[in-house]
Amino acid sequence: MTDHPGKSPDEQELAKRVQDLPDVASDDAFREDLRSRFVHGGLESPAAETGTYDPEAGRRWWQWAVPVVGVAAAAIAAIILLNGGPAMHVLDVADGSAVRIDGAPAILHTGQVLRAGAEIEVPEGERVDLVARGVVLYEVTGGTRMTLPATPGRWFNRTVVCSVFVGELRLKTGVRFAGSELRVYTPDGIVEVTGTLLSIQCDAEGTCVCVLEGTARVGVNDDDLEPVTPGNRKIMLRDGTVKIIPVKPMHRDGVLEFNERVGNRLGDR
Amino acid sequence: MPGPEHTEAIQRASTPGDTWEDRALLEGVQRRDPDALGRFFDVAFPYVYSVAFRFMGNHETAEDVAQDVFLKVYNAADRLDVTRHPKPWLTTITYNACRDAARRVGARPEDAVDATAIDERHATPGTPEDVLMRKEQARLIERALRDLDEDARAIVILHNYCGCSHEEIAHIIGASHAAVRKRYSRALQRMAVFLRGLER
Repeated sequence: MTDHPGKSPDEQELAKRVQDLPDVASDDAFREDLRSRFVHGGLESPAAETGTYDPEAGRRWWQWAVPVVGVAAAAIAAIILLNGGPAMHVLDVADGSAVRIDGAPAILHTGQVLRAGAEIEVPEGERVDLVARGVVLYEVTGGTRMTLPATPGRWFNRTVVCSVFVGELRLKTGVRFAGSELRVYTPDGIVEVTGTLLSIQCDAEGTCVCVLEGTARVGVNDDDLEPVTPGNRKIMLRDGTVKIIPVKPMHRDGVLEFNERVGNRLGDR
Repeated sequence: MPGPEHTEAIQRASTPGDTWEDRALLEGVQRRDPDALGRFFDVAFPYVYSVAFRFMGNHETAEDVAQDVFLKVYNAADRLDVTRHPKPWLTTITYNACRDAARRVGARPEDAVDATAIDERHATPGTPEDVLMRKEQARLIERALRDLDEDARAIVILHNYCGCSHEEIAHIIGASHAAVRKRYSRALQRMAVFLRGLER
């Protein structure tokens, strides 16, 4: 028997009486059923088996949390879906233009949706016009290699980015671009577009950003972004030259031709 | 580690043919071998059910607790330490299952304790009068246990019925050794007062 030092005789006697309590009889049918299910691995939690076992179950957090989370997830999914702007697709492409998408040859066709983030390479002599209806219009000229930006969201994710590695990108923003921001990275600097008609030319000498309408902020890095007003261009050359000078007619004509050719197909009128 | 009190209680609970400490049996349980599981159940069930009944005070909840315990045993069988006596492990699982059940049902054990609940299959033989006396004594103790609060009842059952040392109980219920000793002493005093009132 268990020793109980320091206890009164009464307490020792009591402890012994508890110790000597006999086993409690269980229902034989229950015992056999439990044994069988234990032996064969068929046991489940009593709460799972009998809905009436747990009177608090109806107030358990997960019983209301699951549908709430489900509704919230559906609402979030709907918001994300609605937030997404129109997909960017091919507006016009020279017949049989053989571009490269993510390094692989591809034949584009009008209306084809292109994935944001994909790298597109347009060979010399070709041209691809892309549009996100009402938001932004691009002309990717021959000899250009760049990544494609996403379409800015309606309410969030309103800043989108892309990179121009080489070549010339012409772009025009639409009314639905208002409040959005496109950041274009080149090997020589950053162009911050908030609503404009411009071109970005990038070659072995450096980057030139020509602004014809609106204003863009251009800089070698985030710290020296400065506004470039219509009729001016900012050049950032690899010899370190950085300056804002008037747009030359040769630069202006290409952008104007782009605007005249497809500007009215931006879809915001 | 089980203390001397625990070992004594284990020996007390053991009956001829008892296989609590049979390593081959425990290894079979670990492998979830059906034969070993069946033998283990036969040995463990009376103990688990009795402890559950003494905690919960009614058969319905005791059955749920027992089912919960054996489900947990089955799920954790591969982690069973075959080098140690399984009773402390089983006691801890049973205690935790009782606490969970108490929280779910949100009630104290039922006051009515059925004297016929005593399992005569494990009772010491004797005259009908002896049996009646044992039932009556058990009924009084059960009622005194019912009178205790949940923690005090747990300490008395774990110490005296399950054979756990105060140190083991402190570990199981998450209290200090000193607090367990103090609560145990108070619980016995309260039970003594209660029983004197009944037996007067």
